[in-house]
Amino acid sequence: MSATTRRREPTDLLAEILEVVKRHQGNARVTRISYGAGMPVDRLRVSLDRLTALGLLKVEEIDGRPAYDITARGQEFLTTYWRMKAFTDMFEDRDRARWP
Amino acid sequence: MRLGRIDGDLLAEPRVEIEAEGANGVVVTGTADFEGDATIRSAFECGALRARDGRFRAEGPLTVHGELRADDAKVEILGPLTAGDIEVDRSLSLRSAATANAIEVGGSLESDAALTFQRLQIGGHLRVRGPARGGRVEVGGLAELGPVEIEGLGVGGKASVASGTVRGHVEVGGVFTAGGPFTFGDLEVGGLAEVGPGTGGGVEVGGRFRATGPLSIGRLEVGGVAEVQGDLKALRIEVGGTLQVRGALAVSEGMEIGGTAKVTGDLDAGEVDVGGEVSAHLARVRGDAQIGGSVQTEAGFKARRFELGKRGRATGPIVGEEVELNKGADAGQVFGRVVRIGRDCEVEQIVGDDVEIGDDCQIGRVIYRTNLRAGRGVQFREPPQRADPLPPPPL
Repeated sequence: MSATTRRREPTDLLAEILEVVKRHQGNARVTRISYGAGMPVDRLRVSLDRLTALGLLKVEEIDGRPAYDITARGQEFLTTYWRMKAFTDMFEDRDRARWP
Repeated sequence: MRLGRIDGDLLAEPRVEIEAEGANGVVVTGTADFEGDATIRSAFECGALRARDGRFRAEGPLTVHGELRADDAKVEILGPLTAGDIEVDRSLSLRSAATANAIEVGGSLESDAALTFQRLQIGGHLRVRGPARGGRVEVGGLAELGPVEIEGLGVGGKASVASGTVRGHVEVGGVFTAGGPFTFGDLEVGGLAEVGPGTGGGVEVGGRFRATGPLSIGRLEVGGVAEVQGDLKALRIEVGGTLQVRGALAVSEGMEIGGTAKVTGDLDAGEVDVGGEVSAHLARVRGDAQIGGSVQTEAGFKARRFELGKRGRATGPIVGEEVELNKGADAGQVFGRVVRIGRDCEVEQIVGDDVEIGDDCQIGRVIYRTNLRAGRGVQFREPPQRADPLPPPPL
């Protein structure tokens, strides 16, 4: 999610997948999620299965194909993830020079 | 291949390159279907367009009256684009102005010019260098926008806008920045938000909020730190950590700060509740002020009811209908109709109607009108004085 420079940690990847799924409002297909999250489909499927098993995503069949949607628990994870990231960045004090 | 007008559908082979026969470009009244790579070198107009598996490139103006759909394909359009709905699996690249109804791209959309739409949904990255005008924008990963005039914005990771207006809700999971003047309905950011001068509704930020004033908003709710360079006007403020305003601060209702509140200019508020330190040039609170740590003003702090926490310190005059200093607090000048000083406090001067001083306090001077009660061991540097009327407070 942070632009490009640092390597994504596993939690970052899961958060990114959840954010992409969220934007599709109940109709997120595997191919579309893979383009959005920038992940190969085979690796993405493993993460989707894991997120579904943990209750952060739910899946249903629409027109014969799986479509993913974020759950309330998944949204709770995202809220916590972003807040924690903000505090971590604050402790690392990356932007101190701009605000003397 | 050179084409003119086709009444009906066009089915193109892979690696096709199309040019117009005449000056009016190519017209396909039905659906133009492209398989694999395809390049169109001139103006092209069709009822609907479908591209599959490859790269579709249009070098001239492209008009699609119905749907433009690209399955497992990348689309690059150099000329101006007008379309109905656009749905692209992989990526869409626009070099000139584009107008469409709903635009949905699974991967990324990049536009060098103006983009006008009713709805925009991008799975991965969105970058629009020209003005973006239209309805709601939803992006899974990263959004970088120039000037905007849109209905709403929802971005999973990071979003930046140069300036403009988002009439409704802005929701960003990670980081949101608006470099220039920015007007919004309300703003909800999980991590860090940074905005320029402008107006808005409610602001809710999980981590850190920064702004360049003047800024006028509704409710401000920040989990960590809020910093404003310039004046801030808000309906209500709640900050878990620190609030810093390099200017004047006006809060119509209440202000609740877990840590410290530092205002270089004047503070005007309905109510104030600060766990740590408050500093301002001058503070006027219409209701109650409760400060846990210390109060520092140059011109004074006035409230209807003022309460300073245990071992708190007040520098600058304190003025209130009721003033209460808890155990161990220190203050300079205190003016109140009812003044209650806890035990072990040190106060330079008290002026009050009804004054009560706790045990073992050290008081410089007391001027009272109706009543003075002093506990055991209170030391007065000067004998208490009764006066009617009392000397007027500085505020």
